[in-house]
Amino acid sequence: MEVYLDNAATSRRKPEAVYEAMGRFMRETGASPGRSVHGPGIEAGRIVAGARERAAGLFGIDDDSRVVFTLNCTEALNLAIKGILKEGDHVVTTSMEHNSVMRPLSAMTGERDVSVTRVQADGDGIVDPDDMERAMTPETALVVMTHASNVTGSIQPIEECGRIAREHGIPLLVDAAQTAGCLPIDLSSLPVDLLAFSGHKGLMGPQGTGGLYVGEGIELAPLKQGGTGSNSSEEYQPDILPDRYESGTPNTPGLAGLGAALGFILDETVEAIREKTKKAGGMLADGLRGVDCVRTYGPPDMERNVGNFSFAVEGRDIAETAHALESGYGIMTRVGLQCSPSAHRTIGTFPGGTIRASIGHFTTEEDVAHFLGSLEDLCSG
Amino acid sequence: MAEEYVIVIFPSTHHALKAERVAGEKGIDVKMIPVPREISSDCNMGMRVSCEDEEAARTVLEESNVQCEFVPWLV
Repeated sequence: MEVYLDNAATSRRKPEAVYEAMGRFMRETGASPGRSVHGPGIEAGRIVAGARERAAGLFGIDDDSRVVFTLNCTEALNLAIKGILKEGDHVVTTSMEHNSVMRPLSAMTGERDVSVTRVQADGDGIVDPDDMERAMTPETALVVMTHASNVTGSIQPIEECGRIAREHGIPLLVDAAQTAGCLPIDLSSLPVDLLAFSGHKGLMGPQGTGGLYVGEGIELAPLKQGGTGSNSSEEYQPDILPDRYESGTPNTPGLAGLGAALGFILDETVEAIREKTKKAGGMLADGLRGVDCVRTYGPPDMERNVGNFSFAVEGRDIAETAHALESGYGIMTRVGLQCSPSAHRTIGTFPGGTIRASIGHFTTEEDVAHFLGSLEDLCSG
Repeated sequence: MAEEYVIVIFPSTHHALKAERVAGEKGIDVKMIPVPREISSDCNMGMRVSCEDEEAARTVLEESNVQCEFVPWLV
């Protein structure tokens, strides 16, 4: 039996429609979108436009030109952070961020003299919105926080933090790498100005896809300049969205797959997907706490956890345990720091890290039972 | 014999393809074409509409907030 519990890194299995759409694009369409006005070129453009419309629909975005496609969530976060910050700005963030947030912020500290206040989360990896407010100053130009931790699954109070940030006139950037497609995100009511998402995790599209929602009134300097198929007489980057941030030929096969994945999610609904993962996740969390030799970290209840569970087996090396889980039982997990040293410092597992079991839409109760049984077996062995 | 059309031009392909979709949803017969160089434009992709459909196209594109410009054209 093969059980994939590394969905926080990427969803391995995709909806059938994703494979079909990508194959169809490669075999039948194959042309460049947004530039060439012949049949296949127009069709390629329609495929990208369709993916954009669906992404906007999923997140409650009224103007779909404000959805910018990127290579991944990391590129979206880099675009948002580097595009908005100016010399001497102050940033408020949390102690639970992934390096996709911390490293661009560190770069800005060096290059633009940006100062960063890292708000400490509690032992479950959740920040208090009052602590976030206390960290805001008149110089604060950006609040950036993850929607849910890739290490502990902890769901952050983005709505309250966004409301507070708005009261202070500060834009909020949310890293939705772990939550897009997993938790309902409605930007028509959420006070979020920038939302970075991955296309290949909860959204179940292919790797090499992601995006950034750029709210009305938010101006970002582009990360790159180049051909857009628009305004071609000018040698300056156009101001119009999405072209301003999408230079060069995009990952159209990937976006064909992402469009199909988004169609699948819109049909299933995120609410129904969440109900399903809540069940499997609840079973996994309860089961983990029931295994004597296992030590768990992060919120044990699915009201506060997106579906990522960090743990260690007492008296055993985590890498050795993870390897034993795969070689002996066919279970794939992720071991180490999961690119989030700050989050591990917060929960007290730095520098060793943890084993992370993360569930997804295709995780079954049978998978979870096999995982729990295997851990029991390992512990007794 | 020359036939008169209206060419709708856009600031980007994103806008052109949105126009194609919303016009199509209203049953308006449109054709996406390379914009004649004489008109030039910012974006290579334009939308050809018959003169009879011009008003309907204007209405739906305005309702959908699609930035565009209508240019009369003889083919």
